Amino acid sequence: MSTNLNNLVRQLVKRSTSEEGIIEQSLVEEVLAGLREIRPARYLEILKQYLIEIRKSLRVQVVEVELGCQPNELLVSKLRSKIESIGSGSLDLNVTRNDNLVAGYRIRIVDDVFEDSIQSRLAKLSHSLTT
Amino acid sequence: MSSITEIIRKEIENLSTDSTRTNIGTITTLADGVARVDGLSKVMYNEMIEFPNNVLGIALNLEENSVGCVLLGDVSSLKEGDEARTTGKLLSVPVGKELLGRVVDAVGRPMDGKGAINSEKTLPVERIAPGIIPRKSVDQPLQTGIMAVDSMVPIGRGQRELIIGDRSTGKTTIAIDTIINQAKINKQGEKSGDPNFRAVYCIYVAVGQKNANVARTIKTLEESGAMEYVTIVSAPAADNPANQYLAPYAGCAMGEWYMENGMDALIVYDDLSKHAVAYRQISLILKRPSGREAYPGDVFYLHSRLLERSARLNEESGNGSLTALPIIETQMGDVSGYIPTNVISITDGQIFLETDLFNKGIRPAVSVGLSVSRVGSAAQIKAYKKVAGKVKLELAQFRELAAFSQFESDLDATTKASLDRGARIVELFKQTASNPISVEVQTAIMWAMQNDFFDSISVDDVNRATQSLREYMETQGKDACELIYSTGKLEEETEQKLRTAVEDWKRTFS
Repeated sequence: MSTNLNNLVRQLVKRSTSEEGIIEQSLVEEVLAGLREIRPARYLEILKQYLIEIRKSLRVQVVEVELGCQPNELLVSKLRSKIESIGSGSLDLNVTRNDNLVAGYRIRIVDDVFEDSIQSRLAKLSHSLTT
Repeated sequence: MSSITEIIRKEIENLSTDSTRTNIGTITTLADGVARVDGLSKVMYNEMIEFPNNVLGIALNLEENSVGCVLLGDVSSLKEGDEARTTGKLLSVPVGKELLGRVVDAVGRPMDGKGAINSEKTLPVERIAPGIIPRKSVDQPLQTGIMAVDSMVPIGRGQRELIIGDRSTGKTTIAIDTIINQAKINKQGEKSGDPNFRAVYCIYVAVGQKNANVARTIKTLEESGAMEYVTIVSAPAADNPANQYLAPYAGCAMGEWYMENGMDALIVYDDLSKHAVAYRQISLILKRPSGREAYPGDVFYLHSRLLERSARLNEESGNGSLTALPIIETQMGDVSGYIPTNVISITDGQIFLETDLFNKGIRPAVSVGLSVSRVGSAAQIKAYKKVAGKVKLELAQFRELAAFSQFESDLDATTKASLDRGARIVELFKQTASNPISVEVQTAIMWAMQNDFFDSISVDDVNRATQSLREYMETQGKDACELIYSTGKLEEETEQKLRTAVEDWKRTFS
């Protein structure tokens, strides 16, 4: 990957980011429209790299929360305030129910996964009994 | 029944119930045993990565946007989008004496169906070689039991001696014979009850070989009773390149354990040409820039960091040693190839095996001119040094004279004597496979040669005479041999005993 292409993609990601540091759909659409119009050399390569970088940025601002039980308002707001107190700025909290966890939680912030669930404890037990 | 439930109950009690924090990523591409993973921002170089279905991988390429992992298991169950997670551990293999007599794969898992390996100790496969301070010069011999090698290219404990030659020239045979001889010496030493005796434990690393060849090697070692001192690390040709790349490092870690615990070990890498090919394959798939013959730029470092881990440690560091016998296969006898020259420059000498000699029936087909041991002569026992000191020169002169004598009909007496002596030495050095000779018997045979006892025997009969003298020295001439074994010197009394024994043998030999 050339430095020029990397620099260009970084510029595009910057243009897709609002003043609050959040990737916004409208800005992304503007960037894509601009690219379609200009059709620069290595268009496809730029798009692929842009997608990777946008995904990366989105991962930073979206926190995936999986719960073993049905999420309720109180729990979600408590989680949000706790996570936001550790990180910087406001974050999107994507809360879903995952029955595979049986009970407990699994939180993904960027590449880090914090987990305490029955599923993970059983996996640990299985690992310690088989190795 | 109750004990089983007790074990599980204890396991549950000891289980940590804290929340865990792991670093994860997603497979973006998957091809030829290599996965490119998006994420894993906290991964370490060479860290073990866990994939679904208990597949393990190693992080080899840490790039700006992704991580390149080589996979170490059945990759057919993996797909794009699968989750990969860091383990916080560098790839480690079990080490210790529990591995003796076992056949394991590149990550130390048993392959011989003899059950689990009950070793609690592990060592990382990639480690930094011992530095200058803990090292010591090579000063103890490592007998191969092959007369041509022990006399002309002696090997010391802690040395790296390359075995190089074309295909089917007897490279593996030399390595296996050396292992068999170590087992023989170990048994003899243990039987003697000598408290200063130091056994040599062996590791045989088979890289990119046919499974049938590995099975044959195991059979040879078992039949000769050597298997109890040997660990075999096998990454056959059918194994994925990642395992073939890792196997020598895994074997080295197993050998290092002996060295670091004050013991002696021998490791055979069979062979490093295939190891380099496996590494080239991985590097090309990882899209690393390629250089000469499409090998990556760090192919020298690949072997130098492996072979530098073989060393002789000083007394303060436990006095252990790890001797390495790497094997390299040449093409059409060309030692100037990329990988051969690399490994030649790393090692402390080489045993070069010639196809022509092999086809002429001169086996082991050791080339006198191209074989050298840079440090081994310092480790030879005095008695053997005394009788074998001149033999390499004599044989080299013979080869030169033999080439010229083809055009000369009238030869002077000195030339004729040199040719006669050379022809007899060539016959004397012929040795069958899996038939190592102890150093004291070798000394006796060499002494007989240097003292002209073979001169009256026709060249065609020298090999038979050598066998006969060997049998005689192992039985009736035992006294002289035991004296050489215990003193390591060739004193007047020993020489007298040798003379009597050899004269007695000569009378009976017909």
